Amino acid sequence: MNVRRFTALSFGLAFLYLPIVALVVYSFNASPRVTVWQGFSTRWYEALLHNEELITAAFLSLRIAAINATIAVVLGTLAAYTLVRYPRFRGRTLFTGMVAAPLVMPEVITGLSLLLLFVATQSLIGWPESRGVATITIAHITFSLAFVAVVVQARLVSFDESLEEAAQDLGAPPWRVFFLVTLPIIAPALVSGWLLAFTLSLDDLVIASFVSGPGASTLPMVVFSMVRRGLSPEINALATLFIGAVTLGIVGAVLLGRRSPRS
Amino acid sequence: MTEPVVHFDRVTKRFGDVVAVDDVDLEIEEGEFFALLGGSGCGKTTLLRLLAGFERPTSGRVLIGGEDVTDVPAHRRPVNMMFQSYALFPHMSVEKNVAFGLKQDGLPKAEIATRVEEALRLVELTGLGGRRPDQLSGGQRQRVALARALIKRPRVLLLDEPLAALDKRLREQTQFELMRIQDEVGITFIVVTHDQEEAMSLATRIGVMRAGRIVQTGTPREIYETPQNRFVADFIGSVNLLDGRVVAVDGTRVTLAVDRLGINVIVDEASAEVDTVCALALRPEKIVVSIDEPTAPNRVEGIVKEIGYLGASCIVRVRTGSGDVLQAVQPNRQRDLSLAFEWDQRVWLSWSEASGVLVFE
Ligand SMILES: Nc1ncnc2c1ncn2[C@@H]1O[C@H](COP(=O)(O)OP(=O)(O)OP(=O)(O)O)[C@@H](O)[C@H]1O
Ligand SMILES: [Mg+2]
Repeated sequence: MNVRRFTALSFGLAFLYLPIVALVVYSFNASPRVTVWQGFSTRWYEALLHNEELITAAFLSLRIAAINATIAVVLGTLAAYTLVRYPRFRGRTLFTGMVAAPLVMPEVITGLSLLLLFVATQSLIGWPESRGVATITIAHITFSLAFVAVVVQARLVSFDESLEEAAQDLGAPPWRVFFLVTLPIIAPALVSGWLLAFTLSLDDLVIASFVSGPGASTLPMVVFSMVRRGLSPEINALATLFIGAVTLGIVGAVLLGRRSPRS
Repeated sequence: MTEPVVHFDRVTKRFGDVVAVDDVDLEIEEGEFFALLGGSGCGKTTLLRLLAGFERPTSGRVLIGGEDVTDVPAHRRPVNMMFQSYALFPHMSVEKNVAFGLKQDGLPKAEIATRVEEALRLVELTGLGGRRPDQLSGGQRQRVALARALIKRPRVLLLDEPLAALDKRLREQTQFELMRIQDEVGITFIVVTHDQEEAMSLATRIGVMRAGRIVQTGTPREIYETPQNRFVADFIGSVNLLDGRVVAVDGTRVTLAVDRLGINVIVDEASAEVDTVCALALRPEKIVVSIDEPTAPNRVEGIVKEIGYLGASCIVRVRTGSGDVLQAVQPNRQRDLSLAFEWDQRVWLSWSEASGVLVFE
């Protein structure tokens, strides 16, 4: 590799990852002062284990992320299937745009509009009684769905439709064709979409803050309020774990998205 | 009279403005090996898909075994299709692929297993049942697709360009295999192809398609020797078309004045009215090339412009006085390399009265 290109690349990568590296390194710092290095220790990871607030929030976040991902995969797949397989229905362009919109919508706006919706339905039909886990999950589904739809759509576009016809020709009714042929072949895209939705939900602070209520604080919300009270190495440890989890999710999503059964 | 196993009853299929299948009326009998032959985009695949149930006719009816199946969905029709791309399920083993059709019918496991084995033996793939489609060669995949389509013992097997993806040698070998298998299972085969040699060697009957219509059906021999119009004559093999006008009719002996060549041609076993404008379709191998003037009544003089050596025979292109070029094929009866005639040599072309046919349109 030529030297100039190497330098440029190093600068770019440093810019991206230096903060994260610093964070990871300091999470193993023995000193309670964030900026003074006093030797290696895992005490902050131990402290984390005893922080009830954080653990409760972490489990809540994981639960929301899992439910969100599962429902988003079902709905996103249906949307993608419709868009790819019925290319000439009325209003297709509009629908395509609408499915993709949450990808580019500022989170603040998504959050705000969902909050307004929940407030409105509460006064109209009395639901939701109070905002919390349910509203956060619904809010996450609305934007995760769009990401899943995009991932699954990409897989469906390259799907050889004669496979479905062959299955039908051999006597499988349409629903059986879907479960025996279509679904197994697009499964990697579904898993990839699931991981993506899971990660997005785990990450989200802004939208969750808008639609959450008392007693339902997700992990990012708790972290954010802790940080406002002051930096602590404990946060670094937590963040490191988070980075690990998210990285695994993304890498998994990418790898599965790339793997395609040859036909 | 028995019902034809397949009957297209005045079927038309339009895609928007495109008429893919145009008023096709076709009957296919039990046990036939029927080939649909035609150029690209003439509607062959669409016709098969109408029969398989993937397309609905715009008008007309499709009958299988005398039963109207126009409104029956694909999964309930007693026909199976072998796809041009083979469409093997990539996530299933060869065995599972072949067993798929029987599983849909809910047959007992033991019976499925024996029939899968039997089908794999039929296509000579015994022992490869555990492989995935991507671990097979092109020819093996083709045979898996065939086994999968045959295993339900359909009334009709549809094959869309079954040999197109194979190389020439494998194609020829597989042609014979297809014929053997059809013989063994006794199922009606309908095969789509754009390769006329393939159609001729495989089929018991050929339907020639053009622009959505079936222009002629007949045995390979009928199609080749007595084409009903210029298109069929020209599409199947090579042909010399001599345009002319009928000047005399004596029973089945017709005399055609071919003005461009300045000769009268006598055609036997023909029927035409005096003054009809038509053409004589004459296959190159029916023409004899000679240096001395022959005694045959149908003859024309010209100059050899080209000789193509094909091994078993030579193609000789001869330019007549009018500038028209006629093609003749001469068998190479001797190993002697020096032919009796050479480039730019003056030669005679002649043919018997029964060797050509009149085509109209
Ligand atoms: N689903 C479709 N939508 C629109 N037009 C179509 C569709 N399927 C086929 N056609 C058109 O119908 C005509 C016949 O197509 P078809 O596939 O039957 O041709 P073919 O004879 O099988 O040709 P080839 O030898 O190239 O496979 C073509 O003009 C094609 O463009
Ligand atoms: Mg075709």
